[in-house]
Amino acid sequence: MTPLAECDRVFLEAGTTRLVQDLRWALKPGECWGILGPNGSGKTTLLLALAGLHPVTQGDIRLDGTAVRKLSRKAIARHVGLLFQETHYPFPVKVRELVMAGRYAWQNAGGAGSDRDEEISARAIAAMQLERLAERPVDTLSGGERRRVALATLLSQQAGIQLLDEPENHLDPGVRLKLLEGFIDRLDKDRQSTVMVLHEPALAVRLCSHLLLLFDDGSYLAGETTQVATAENMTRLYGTPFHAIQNGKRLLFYPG
Amino acid sequence: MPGRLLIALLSICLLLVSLLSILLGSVQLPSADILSALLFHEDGLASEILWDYRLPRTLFAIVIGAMLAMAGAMMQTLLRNPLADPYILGTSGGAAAGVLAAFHLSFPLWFHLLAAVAGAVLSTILLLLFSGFIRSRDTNRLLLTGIVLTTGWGALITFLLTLSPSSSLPGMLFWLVGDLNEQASLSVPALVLLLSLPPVLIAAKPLDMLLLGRQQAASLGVDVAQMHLLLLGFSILLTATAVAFAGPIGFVGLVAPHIIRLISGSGHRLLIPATALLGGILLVSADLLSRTLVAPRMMPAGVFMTLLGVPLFLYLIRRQS
Repeated sequence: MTPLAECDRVFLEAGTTRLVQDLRWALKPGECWGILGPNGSGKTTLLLALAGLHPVTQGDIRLDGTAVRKLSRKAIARHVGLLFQETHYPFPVKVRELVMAGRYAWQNAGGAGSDRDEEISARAIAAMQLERLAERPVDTLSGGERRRVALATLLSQQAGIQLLDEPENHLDPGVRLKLLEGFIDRLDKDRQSTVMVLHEPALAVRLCSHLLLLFDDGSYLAGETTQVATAENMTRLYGTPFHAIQNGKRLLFYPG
Repeated sequence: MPGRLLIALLSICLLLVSLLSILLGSVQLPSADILSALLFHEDGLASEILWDYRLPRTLFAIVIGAMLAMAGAMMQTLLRNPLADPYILGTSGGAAAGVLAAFHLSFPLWFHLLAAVAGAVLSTILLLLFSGFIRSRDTNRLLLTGIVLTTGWGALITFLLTLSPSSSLPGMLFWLVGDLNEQASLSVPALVLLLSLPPVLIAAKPLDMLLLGRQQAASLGVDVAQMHLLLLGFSILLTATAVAFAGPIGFVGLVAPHIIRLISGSGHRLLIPATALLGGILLVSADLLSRTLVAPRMMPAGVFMTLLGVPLFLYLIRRQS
């Protein structure tokens, strides 16, 4: 089976800084990957490259077997949806309109929304419990509410791959796990998968089936969470001693 | 407000100010004479004034106003900033300098339009290059660069004027503040306006999404580079054509889209046609005032637009910061 996304000997740079080197990695349907790494290790750049928004220096990124650079923006958007770290809208846009914009990649040139598009975006709004806020301008919402709008937009986009850049930002500790689990549960396991950049190893262990560790020197380590999530690897990753505690089924990491 | 209602109201307003514009002028004529000349096309003074002067002038004002308003709305989408305007950012100044240079080198009249486009393109390239706006998105730097470019073009224009024969000076000076007296040709501006509308309207949806930000729009499937080229190309073409034929009239592109956005939001399917209609209304009104307020003297219509635009611009700057 062709993987949803595949990095074939990929090298990435930002400006003159070398980031990821010689990355060989594949993403299959139903998987949930967490990307961990210190600041500046290229986590966000890798997400942007997967969405065709950052060029690869060497190698190829393929979506469903086709190189990203050969796909149109619309085709990419049917393969990949992206949740950005921060969003800001100087021109007012309503929640309902933004979630509906997720359907653009599936519409013809005129872009008139069909009944099916309306139905899908209404379901996404309901899934993120935004019905009450549907007519509000997005910029008037709180940080946490804006995150839910962004997640609803991703749900209505129905892309194969959901790329989430620090999705836990602006979310209360009590809400983040439930919200993100709820989001992942709504995906179609036979067709869709998730890749998220996280800052919190414990959250990654809890949510993700697989981990991709990006080290400072451009090397990486990829594999199932149970194999990769060790105190030794976290220590090497963040350059500071980490310890692990096992509490029942939960695995926790703490520095120091 | 529902889109159809807004378009209907604006159309009625445009018809009303146009009617006033053909009824009033420095020569006082009974309205009945004008209306009968309009309907029956008889010979006589009323008919001559209507068909040779007031009607072409009114139609010219509508077309130029619509073009400038559309150009403003498109620049605001391109730069994601409600303060963008071809006059403030130096595009009009570049076009005007181009026209005057062509005039000086005694190029034929049809070449003036090309010179205006060249000047507008050059000014836009300088603006994007020196403001670094594409990377930094720093609005202050963008506006500052635009204002400095406008000043530079102004100096170049003054330089060209001092070299001109004194006989052509009054006409050139009037043209420079936006003059609707010399409606050399209505057909070229009207053609440019009609050609610009369909591509912009077809792209209404992706243009709406562009307002979400370049990366967000691209991640949702919008071909951002293509949309930027469309906006840049048509806003330059519209501005340059308006300047070549009517002189650099400021602030229509700032005032008209701002009012429409307040009423009905930023959706381009409605914003573009409504802004074009309101631009027509504004410029016909400004022209009407300039012809009647100090009659029998005439004032350039650009003077009134600027008097209306400057307070609004100051208000917007205050609100944005």
